[in-house]
Amino acid sequence: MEDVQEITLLSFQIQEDTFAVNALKVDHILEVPENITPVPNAPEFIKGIINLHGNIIPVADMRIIMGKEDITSNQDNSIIVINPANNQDSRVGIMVDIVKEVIETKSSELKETVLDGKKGLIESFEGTLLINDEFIHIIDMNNLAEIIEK
Amino acid sequence: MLDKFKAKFVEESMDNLQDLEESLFLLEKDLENKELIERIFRAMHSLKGGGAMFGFNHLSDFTHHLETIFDWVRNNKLAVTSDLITLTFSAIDHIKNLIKTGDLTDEQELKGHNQFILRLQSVLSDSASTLSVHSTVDSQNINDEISESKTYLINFIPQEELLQNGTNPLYLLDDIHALGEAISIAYTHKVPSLELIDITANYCLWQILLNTSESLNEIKDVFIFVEDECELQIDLIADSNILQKPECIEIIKKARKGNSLLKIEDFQSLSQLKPSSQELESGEEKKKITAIKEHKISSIRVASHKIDELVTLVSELVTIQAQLSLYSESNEDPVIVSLSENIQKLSRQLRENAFDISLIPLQSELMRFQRLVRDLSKDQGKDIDFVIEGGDLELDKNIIEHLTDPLLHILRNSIDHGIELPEERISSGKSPKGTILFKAFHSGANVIIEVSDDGKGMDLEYIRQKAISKEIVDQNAVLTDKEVLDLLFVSGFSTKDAVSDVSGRGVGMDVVRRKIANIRGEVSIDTEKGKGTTITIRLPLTLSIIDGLLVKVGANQYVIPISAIDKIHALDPSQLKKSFNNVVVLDKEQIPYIDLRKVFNAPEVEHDVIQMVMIKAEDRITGVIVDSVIGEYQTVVKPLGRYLKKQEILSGATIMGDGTLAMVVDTSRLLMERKSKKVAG
Amino acid sequence: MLTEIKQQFYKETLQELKNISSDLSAQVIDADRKSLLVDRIFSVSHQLSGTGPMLGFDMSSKISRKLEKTFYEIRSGEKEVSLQLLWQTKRTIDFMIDCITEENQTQVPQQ
Repeated sequence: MEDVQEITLLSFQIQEDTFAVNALKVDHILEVPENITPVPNAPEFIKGIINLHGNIIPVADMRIIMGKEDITSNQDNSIIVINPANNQDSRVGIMVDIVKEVIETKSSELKETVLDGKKGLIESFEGTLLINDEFIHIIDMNNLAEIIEK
Repeated sequence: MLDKFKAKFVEESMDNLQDLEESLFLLEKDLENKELIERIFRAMHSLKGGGAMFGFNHLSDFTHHLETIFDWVRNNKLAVTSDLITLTFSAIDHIKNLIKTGDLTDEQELKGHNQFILRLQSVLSDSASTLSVHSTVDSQNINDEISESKTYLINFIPQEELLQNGTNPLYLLDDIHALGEAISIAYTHKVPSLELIDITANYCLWQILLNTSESLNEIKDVFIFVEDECELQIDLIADSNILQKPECIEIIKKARKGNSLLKIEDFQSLSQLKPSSQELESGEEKKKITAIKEHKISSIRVASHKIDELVTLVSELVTIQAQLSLYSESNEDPVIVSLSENIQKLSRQLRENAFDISLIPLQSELMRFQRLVRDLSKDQGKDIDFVIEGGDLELDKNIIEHLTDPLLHILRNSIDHGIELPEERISSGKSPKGTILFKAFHSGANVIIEVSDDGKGMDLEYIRQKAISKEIVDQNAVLTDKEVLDLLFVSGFSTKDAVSDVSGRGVGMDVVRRKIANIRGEVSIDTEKGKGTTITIRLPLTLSIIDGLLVKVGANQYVIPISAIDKIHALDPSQLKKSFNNVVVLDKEQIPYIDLRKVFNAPEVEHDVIQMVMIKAEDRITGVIVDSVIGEYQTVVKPLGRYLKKQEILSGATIMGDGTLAMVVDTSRLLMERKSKKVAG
Repeated sequence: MLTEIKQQFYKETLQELKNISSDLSAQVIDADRKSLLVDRIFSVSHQLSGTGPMLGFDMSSKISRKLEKTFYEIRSGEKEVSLQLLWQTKRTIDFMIDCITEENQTQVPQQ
């Protein structure tokens, strides 16, 4: 196939920043359920585990991973269940401030990510998209998975 | 999306390869078995085709050469030799690698790849020089310029789900009729009696006689989007239009009346076809269909997550059913009581059934073991008979997945350290051929797997000396035989001085024990110097379900496996206050204890009575303090997954009847952590 | 927010499906238009199979997978486009239009 690939992204907001993940690796978008079961002795960013259709899914708070101070919750908070390696074992929910939109674009539109300072624990991005004067940083799911795994 | 097809291809190819290896093993014993050769050729053919389709170009190219070799074999142009089988085995390994890595980019690898292809080609050129090769002009030259119409018999047998997937079969019939002159017969004998009918299911099947001048492909295209949901067979029955012939009309009448399907033979008298050309048009299609049919009879393929789902649902059903019986007992309504009893019976059976489905035979992994023994013994010049007993024993698929690596390691040890070289064996009065016996059998609620060899056994004194030199034990320590053998499980212990290619890569029996412990199994060693060694693995029947005790610590619920529990003790809080160094005195005995509230960082609450769950491990009792004991609970354990694997004390989580979660405590981990002082008492 | 995404996806997909369906009804389809059409069918079915399940269009994405597979084969030159195939494609696309509409009305986003 040709070099330029069509990509589908799902964007979301973490306070003032906008990020996106590869939508084809998103399994579900959920409202934050009432009871997330906390896991004792887990890292701070692990909110706990939830029951998703009979499977146990860990939930990580992206705001803590991104190094944000304010982690108060509101109604718009959502959990995006991502599946980086396409198997049950690699499914993880990431809690974000608000889910924004599905973006269809081409890989040629991506620019290299230049960030003003680090974004918490995240080490690498797949690129940055500029849409309507807004920067959207595309998260490297494998990097994210490794961080949560540690 | 393409990735999903690719993943499917990889999965299927691995199956194909397994089939290939199996056939090769059999072929090695029966070099001229036509059926096996055909199976091998077919497996290669589909690998080639699939490879090209999903962009595995090197794979496809490579398999093409291999396929050609076996094409020659099946056409009697090349004989099967033991060398050819060995070459094919290593070719299979190469293919596995190509499937795993995709197309090669590394120059070195590419070079090896190309050399391998040359080797394959040389097999053909060597044999061609001794045999006169007939040019194989493809006789299947299908004549494209047929303008005359032909008559086809179409068998269209949809699955029951056809309608649910949005296909209206009547449209398809319309489209067939639009291709020419057609007569269709609908068979309704599969329609069940009225009360059993599912209105969304399709129970009909059709046969259509079609006279058309369109090509076979054009006819096939009508069914393009229902391919996966039906059986389709299209046979050429005549080179002309026979639909209006009286004999034909008679045949159709009979079929309609008797609800009996038409066969190609019914039309033999009518057809002016030479039998050979009929074979030609429908041959391949027919083979495909029969292959599918045979497959259907013996088994169906189900994605493993669907089985997991089934097991979960059934377990939830069992939980809810328990609530129902509680309610019915208190309610005293005889109707509800009897209904509840019936449901209880049914859900029991359903549960047993569902768990039975999630078991798979050990056989599926044995191929790899056979390969290992064959390859390694050849490499090392050892002659080994690998005997398997109980290969049809069934185990939970999750257990089997985790069992393969440890077993491979154990087998390697047997070949590498156990079985001696032929001359060595002769001089110690044994037969030159060694034996490794792989035996699997049931024993109570456990499954036992034994791997025994008749090799040289282990030298206990040597092991002891080695442990002393590695400062694992003290020089003056007095050890029983069992304790000496236990040293093999200590991390970092490896008996072979020279690191061989086979084992001793820094991993040893300690890894085997840990991996087996992960699936709640135990390993033990028996050995006799000069006679041989037996490794025994004891496993639970199933991983996914345990009987547990539900307890509460802080706001969370936890499950402690009943199998680890000795009894539950109620303590007076004052007893704990008097305790010293996390040891409490009960019945004049000193019992060490762990406070789970501290382990899990839960707030310490004052209780009138303190609940202590007594855990038994290796003949010792340890108390575990919880906030409250809720009760016994049969539970399906779900893994916490890769992200939480650092939480070693927790072996999984389970979903309660109301949808909330409880985490499962791994008691042996908990005790180990206490020993290593990581856990506060 | 999720509802909005779903609506946007639904509208766009529905429109493209309808366009393709009407293009497929044309009496004559020349070679250039044919290859363009093949690309469009592949792309819309690819999107629907990929993004559909996430947004609750389970049935339509299931059906679109069949289209996707067939048109992938066509694009890679393994399969020929016959008139019959285009006709069956139209049938399937028309059904998908019904299906996606129905799913949009009845389905509520997951829990």
